[in-house]
Amino acid sequence: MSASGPTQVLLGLDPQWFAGGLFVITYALIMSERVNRAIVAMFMAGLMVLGGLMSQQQAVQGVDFNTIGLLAGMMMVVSITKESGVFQFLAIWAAKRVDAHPWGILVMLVLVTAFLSALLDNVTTVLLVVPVTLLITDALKLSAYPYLFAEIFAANIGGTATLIGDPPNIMIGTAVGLSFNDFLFNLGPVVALIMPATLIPIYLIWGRKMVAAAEDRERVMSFRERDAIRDPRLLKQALFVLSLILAGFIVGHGYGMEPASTAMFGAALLLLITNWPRKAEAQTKALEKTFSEVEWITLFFFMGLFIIVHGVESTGLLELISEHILAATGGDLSVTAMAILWVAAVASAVVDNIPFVATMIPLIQSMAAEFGGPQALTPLWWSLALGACLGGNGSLVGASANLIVVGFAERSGHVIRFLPFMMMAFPLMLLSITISSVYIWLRYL
Amino acid sequence: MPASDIMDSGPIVLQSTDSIELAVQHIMENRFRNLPVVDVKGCYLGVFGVNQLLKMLMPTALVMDHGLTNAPFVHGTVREMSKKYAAIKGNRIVDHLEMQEPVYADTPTLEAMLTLYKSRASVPVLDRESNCLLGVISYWDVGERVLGWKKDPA
Repeated sequence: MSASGPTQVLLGLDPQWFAGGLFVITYALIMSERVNRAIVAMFMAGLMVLGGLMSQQQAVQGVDFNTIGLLAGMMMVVSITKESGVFQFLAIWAAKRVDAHPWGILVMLVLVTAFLSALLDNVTTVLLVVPVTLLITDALKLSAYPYLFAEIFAANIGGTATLIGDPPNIMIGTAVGLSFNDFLFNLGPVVALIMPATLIPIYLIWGRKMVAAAEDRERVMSFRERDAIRDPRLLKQALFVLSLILAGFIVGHGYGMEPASTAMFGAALLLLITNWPRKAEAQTKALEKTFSEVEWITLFFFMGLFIIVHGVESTGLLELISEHILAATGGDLSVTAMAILWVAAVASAVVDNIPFVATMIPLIQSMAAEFGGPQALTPLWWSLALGACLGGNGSLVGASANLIVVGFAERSGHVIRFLPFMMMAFPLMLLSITISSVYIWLRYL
Repeated sequence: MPASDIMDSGPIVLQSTDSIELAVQHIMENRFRNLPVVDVKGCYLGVFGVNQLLKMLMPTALVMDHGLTNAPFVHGTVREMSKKYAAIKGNRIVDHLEMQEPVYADTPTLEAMLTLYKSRASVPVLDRESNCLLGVISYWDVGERVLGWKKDPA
């Protein structure tokens, strides 16, 4: 994509230094958390355009609207669907299936979290599951910590399995043209291995000591999950549209339908059928509510970031870095795949995995010629997806969902501290990456 | 007319060291929504009322920010709340205060009424210099003025 090269860079600076400098500052500012990451991305993207590195038109071309559309569409669908109460229903139903046994509930909530996370984004998933978890642990008079810890892992692991489960996957899938099924069939099996493997240490540390009084378990069993469904009509409408969206993801790729079109059309359809009976004023109000729940900060962060990475890419800097990486790995596909997996995992544990993946995508694309064409890069994409998604489990700042859970924990009096969490989480994350390494090596290399 | 002219200058006031049980006793006996809380110097610290009490007694997941917005599936919790109350009634109220926006003695009446309208609970009136509590303005104080039951000071 270096065809759309720089026009006239500010003060006659070298375009690579200018773009590289802005890129490093962007990363530093995002890591410092001093300024909101969306502000940083928008400001730096603006500097790239105003600094003459690219025109406005080139900047807009750099934005992956497939990613933006997919995220926005799913956010709207979830915002409407959650009003039906279906997610609470699912969590309570799951807890009661195991007779409110503490460890059984943990396993079931982990499964629900992983399942929802594969279909929704991680942040939305934990926003839906964690409050119900706190209600249940409150009733059982148990510490919520092991449950919240396990749900952080479940959200990040479950999200790894599908195209729409985690932003890195959405970015990789849309940039490379990998379908929903590609992700499901390639990453689903390893996720199915990692999830139970992660539960073993959690059981050994907390699970085997979990005991709840019969009276408290009875309280959980008295929850009537059917009463959680507040709007049965909305539930039917939402499930119908969600099924269509899922079908669109699964079969749409074969007909050239991009995931963003599926998600946005699904959102529009759900808005249409839920607002049809309402009067004009009520429709406006409902629409305002739905739009207000779209995470605009995330979307603008993505847009700014895409422009920044496009700017850096247009100078040929990423190609240069890729040449160095290939020189370091000796141009060996296996070594490169492992390097990407492990570097992505460790990096994603300490920095935001979204800018990391945004940078790595063009970097890996530029390796195509060396490895014999874009098809040969497949193991590298799975390495990047696994590393970036699972790496988020390594620390509290590794993924947005982790921080959401921390916020919930604090507000409910169960503080999750950075170091104690990392002492447990980082080795568990390494375990998942070890399993991923074996999987990639056996299946693709 | 300033806020000090319509306030009740002798309200029931809680001390920061008071127990939840004592506060609840005042609230229940007088049907107050909340009561102002002051420190040993009489400086305003916040209010304690039925909202803070309910917050302590209901499941955390329901009363926390971004928690469950409703829980129609949970039944029979009154007995649980009684048990919870018995366990916390000896605690001090100071850890459970809410900072309700006060007005000052020289705040114009209309501004004070606007604060009352927005907060939907009695408004503490403070001394601007010392932050000490001088009184409160309740709906009833305003009502008495409006209906002419209490005359405006000359």
